[in-house]
Amino acid sequence: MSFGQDFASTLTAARRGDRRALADLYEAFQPRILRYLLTQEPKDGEDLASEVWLDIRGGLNRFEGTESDLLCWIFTIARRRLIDHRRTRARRRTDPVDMETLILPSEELDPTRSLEYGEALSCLALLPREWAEIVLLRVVGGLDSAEVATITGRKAGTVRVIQKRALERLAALLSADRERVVTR
Amino acid sequence: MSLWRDFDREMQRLPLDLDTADRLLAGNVPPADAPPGYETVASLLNGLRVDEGRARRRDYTVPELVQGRCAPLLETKSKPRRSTLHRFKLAGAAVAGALACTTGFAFAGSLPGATQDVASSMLAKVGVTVPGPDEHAGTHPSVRGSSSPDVAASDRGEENDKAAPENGEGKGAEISELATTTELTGVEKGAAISTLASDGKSQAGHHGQATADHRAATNQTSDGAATANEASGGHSTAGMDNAAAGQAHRP
Repeated sequence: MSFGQDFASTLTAARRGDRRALADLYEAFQPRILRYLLTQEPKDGEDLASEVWLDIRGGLNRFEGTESDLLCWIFTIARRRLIDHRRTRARRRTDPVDMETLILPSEELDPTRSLEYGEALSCLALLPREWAEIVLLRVVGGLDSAEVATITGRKAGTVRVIQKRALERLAALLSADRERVVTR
Repeated sequence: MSLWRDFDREMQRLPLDLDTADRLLAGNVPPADAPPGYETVASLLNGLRVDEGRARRRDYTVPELVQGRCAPLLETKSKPRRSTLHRFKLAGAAVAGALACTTGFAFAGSLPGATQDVASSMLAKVGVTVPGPDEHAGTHPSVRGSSSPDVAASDRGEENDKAAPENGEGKGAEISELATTTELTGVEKGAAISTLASDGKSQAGHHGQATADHRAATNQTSDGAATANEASGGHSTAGMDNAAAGQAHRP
């Protein structure tokens, strides 16, 4: 969703606390934030998304920039919330996750069929965390490589290389799985 | 020797360049147009991508918190945690402030005596001169915290300091000499010593005889006065006062 010319007025109204403008922002960004967080933290993604919106609501008056900047800022908040959550969880006892939930999909893979969200998530879980995060920010967040570089604190060239390797790794994993299905 | 499917797999997947990877991630490449070996990857990425239209139709319930109804809650920010460095800075500032205050009080001479003395000596080592604890005492000696015999003597005055030992020693020696050399015994010895010690003020040894002696003295005085009166033809007034006093004291 793009606000286009209405972004400035929407942002101004949202800063004043206008409910309609805030609802527009929420509807525009919440699906992406929620999917980004749920992809990485299936159990706590929704809670994290709520916390992200609390931060957004609290810091909206200080924000200056375009719609793209706002998206980048929101995902920066979401990523930091995610890192905080993982750090907090690391200090506490963790819930073990069955490896079965992370295995590749065993269904026949039809290249023309769009993978369902759960299947795509299972594939993505096999990537290193940093790689998966960059792919999610690119795909789910709708951000370009420069914005992802800003959010993750890396150089844009580094992000481009990582995303290329991530896609190559995914292709290798998926082809191996397909081969396993064919030869079964 | 490689299997046939190894060659097949290598032939299937072309190396991916950075721009193609970028376009795949941006969603600009449909699975059918993806490079060989990346069709599944393209469909996987489409599966991750959020369907904007479906998300809009889902009709999200906007939380009240986002709508600003609970905005005052957001204003109450938690107290920021202070880092260790910040705490060290605070501690350093407190120490510096305490030193400055102490130095100021030392310059003013307002510290307690011992503290002023320590501050004066310490600051003197770094070349700063501050008044000592007895700076305002003038010629008066310092008697703070002292209970020595000299202090007691100074409280009584210097003249007493000089006179007291002489009087005390002379009189004591005299009393001691009387006590050891006198031939008196019993009550008479005690009375003599007591009289000497009290410069004649003591009535020791006279208990029970004062009235009789006084009466005798009064009679003697009256007799003497009568004789003198006769000898002078009535002009003498000798003993009159004593007689009168004797009359007055008579019970």
